Amino acid sequence: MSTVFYDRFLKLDKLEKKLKKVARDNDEFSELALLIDELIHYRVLSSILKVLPKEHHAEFASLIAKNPADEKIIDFLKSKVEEDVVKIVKESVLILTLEITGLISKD
Amino acid sequence: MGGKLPTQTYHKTYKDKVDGEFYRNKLKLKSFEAEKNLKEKYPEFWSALSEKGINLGKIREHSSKIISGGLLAGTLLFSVPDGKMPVLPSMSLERFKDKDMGDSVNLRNILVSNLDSILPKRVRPLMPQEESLLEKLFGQVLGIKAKATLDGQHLNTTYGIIGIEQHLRRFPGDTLEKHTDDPLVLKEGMAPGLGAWGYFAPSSEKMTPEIENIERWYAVVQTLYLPDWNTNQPFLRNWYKYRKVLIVNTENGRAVVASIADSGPAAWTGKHFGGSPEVMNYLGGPSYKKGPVLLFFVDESEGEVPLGPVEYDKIDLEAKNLVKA
Repeated sequence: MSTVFYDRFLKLDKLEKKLKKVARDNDEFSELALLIDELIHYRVLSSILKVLPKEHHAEFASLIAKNPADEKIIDFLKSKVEEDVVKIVKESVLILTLEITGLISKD
Repeated sequence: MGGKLPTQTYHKTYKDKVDGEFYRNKLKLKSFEAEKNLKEKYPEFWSALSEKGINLGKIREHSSKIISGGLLAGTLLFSVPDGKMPVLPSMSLERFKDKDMGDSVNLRNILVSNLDSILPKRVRPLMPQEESLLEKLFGQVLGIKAKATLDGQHLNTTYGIIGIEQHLRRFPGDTLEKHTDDPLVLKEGMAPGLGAWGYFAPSSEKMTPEIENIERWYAVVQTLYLPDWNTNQPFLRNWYKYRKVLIVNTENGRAVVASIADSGPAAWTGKHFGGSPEVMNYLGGPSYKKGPVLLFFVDESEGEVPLGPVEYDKIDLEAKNLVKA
């Protein structure tokens, strides 16, 4: 299944449209889409770890290992993080989107 | 004199090649930096997952394996309210009988009412028990044998969000105007690239009404996220090419049989499937751009199922296991 607990905060339709324009074929589109996917995971997880107190990192890791799709992970984060974790995830995705869009538009 | 000299056409080829490589390299570099940053700042977190063989960049693959394993084992991975699996509710046509409406509307009411009680509030991969109920429901109400798993193949999800797609080029030189005169359908435009299986026909002369129908009623599924997509080729590519699927709008019960003709959308769009302008128009009307649907493979082992709308008024009630009023 292609589901991760923060998927519902990702709505990057416009980025996909741009990607389809620059990709030469479907294989290249898939490759670039998967690279963006990787990037999103690293950035989103970094943004969460930055605000999640260190003593909860191990539990967070074990929840991801058990089932990355489980939306209860968001509930766990909400209970451990003082800041608005959903807002933090969305902001990190927005910043990344702007970076990628800038990159793709440069030609 | 317009156009480029034959000796200059390599300029475009070279530019395309450079662009593709440029974006790939830039994204790879960014990804490498982000990975390095995560690894260096949170080494314990990184190690905890690495020791379990989990690559955070490929977390979707890990998720895929976990859920596939859970589905095979019938493990409850997602919370079900009050811990009980739903049962197939009333199939009595009498219960939904509205004297002012025809049987087709009543049938649609039966479907929607049952979907309401089976499906979770938010889209997510379904449990085998839920999928099994839905298979029964589709068979009994729509008369279509549809399967979540067919020939051992199961999509990343059978319950997700569908988004509108553009038309696909069917043959070299195809234009939007050659597809249809319907302005509602034309307004979505033509996709910049080809579908995942390239042109549908090698030339306009080789086009047939069947091929036209495949593009008209096409669906997009996320083959790129299938765990064995890269390792089980060409089998998977051939198996999914133009494979028929039943798509049901869970909000209004409208249903279409479509053929898979492209791969996508990217998971980070929040969507799980795509539909041609005609598919989307039928499922939800001219302003329908995205919404929740069920998407199951059509099992044609007992007879061919035509592409296009599933018309309730043409369903033979006598043939169904419904309690007719």
